[in-house]
Amino acid sequence: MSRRYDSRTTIFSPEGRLYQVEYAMEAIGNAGSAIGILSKDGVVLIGEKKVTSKLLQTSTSSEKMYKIDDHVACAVAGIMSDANILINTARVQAQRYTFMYQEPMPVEQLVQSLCDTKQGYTQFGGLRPFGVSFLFAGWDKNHGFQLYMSDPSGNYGGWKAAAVGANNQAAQSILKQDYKDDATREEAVELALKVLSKTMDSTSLTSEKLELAEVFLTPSGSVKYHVHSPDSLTKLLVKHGVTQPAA
Amino acid sequence: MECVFGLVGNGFAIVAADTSAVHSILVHKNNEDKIMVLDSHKLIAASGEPGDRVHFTEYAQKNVSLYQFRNGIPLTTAAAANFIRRELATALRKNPYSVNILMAGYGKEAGASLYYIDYIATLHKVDKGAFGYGSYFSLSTMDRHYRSDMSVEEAIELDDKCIREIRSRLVIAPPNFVIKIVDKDGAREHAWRQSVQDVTTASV
Repeated sequence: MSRRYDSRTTIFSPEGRLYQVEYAMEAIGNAGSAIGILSKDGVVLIGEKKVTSKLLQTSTSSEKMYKIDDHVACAVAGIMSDANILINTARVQAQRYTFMYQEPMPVEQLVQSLCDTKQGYTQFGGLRPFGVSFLFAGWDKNHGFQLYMSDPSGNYGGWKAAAVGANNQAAQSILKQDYKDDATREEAVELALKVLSKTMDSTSLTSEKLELAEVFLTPSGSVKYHVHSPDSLTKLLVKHGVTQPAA
Repeated sequence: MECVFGLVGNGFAIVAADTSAVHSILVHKNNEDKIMVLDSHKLIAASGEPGDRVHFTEYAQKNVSLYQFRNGIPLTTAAAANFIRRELATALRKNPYSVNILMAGYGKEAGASLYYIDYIATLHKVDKGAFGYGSYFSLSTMDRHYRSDMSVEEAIELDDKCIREIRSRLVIAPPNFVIKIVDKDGAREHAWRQSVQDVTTASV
């Protein structure tokens, strides 16, 4: 193991690896998972909350889901404080684009722009990379509904279904088996709940431990980002037979 | 005495500009093309300080191309117009460009559109617009004869009316004009109207 090359974030090891980037991904692997699923009429994002307490103000604070612009939202896995910086950066980039062109920023361009920022931290400055992976869900007039996953290296890809955070590999393989191309949003919600219930470590799935959001078009044609309330979540868990009552 | 004017017809937009390059009392050339093709479906007709005109329109065109290379999709006409306005507005508070622009474009969703952008970064989406002393004559003529669904032939007739009016009523009227059109098939040169041509051979 070439430990000599660990502390310098911006240089390669002799084997051609960037250790700091890999360690960042390790950190994310211990964080609460998030799953995103693309359907033909919307994108579903679901996240596992690690901080659960009755004392938490759920109406005002969100741990996993954030709105970047009217037409783009993201789910987060990793170090929350790092995520906040990047979310703010993404929000500024989106507004800067609209300031210039008077149009919403195409989703891929927003993701690319944020990933360029992340890449910078792997090449110069001597600062560590961000320990966050994102799932971006959005709509634009060029490509309709889109889902993107990005990691600390600054790589990103467009996905039909993707998972980040703890047990993401298990989640990804279940998604590969069960994902259907022409699923509706409701079916995507069902799939997301089922996959998360299988991969989450905890024994019972309650609305306290989850956050569920959807990005879709209203009948009038505008993009809506909707986060489910705990009651609505509980109803969905019961409806899809996914909740296990506490013993 | 630069004259630029344009209008939107049925599925197309047309712009005309004079083609005189003038410095003080000297006419450098009679066939200076002041309508730049921004991309496949956009035109900008510009008037103003010659150095600023060329510099700014080339800058706009290169940025529009860069956007397309970077993102694989062209800017919409509205987005390009707003970008140009933003650049003029930023420069205005430092080193203003003395350029007035009429931008014509065609997009699948928006159809044909025309944008009026003046040197102090005013932006208006218009059906017809004009700049320069010639605007006193071309705007009035267009106000009288313009309809919103004109065919290309009718629009060219109206353009010719404007050119005739400018030629007969404006002192030091520019002799030559170029007319360019943009529609679903793209942006292209449509016609020239020349009453004076550069002398290339010495007459005996």
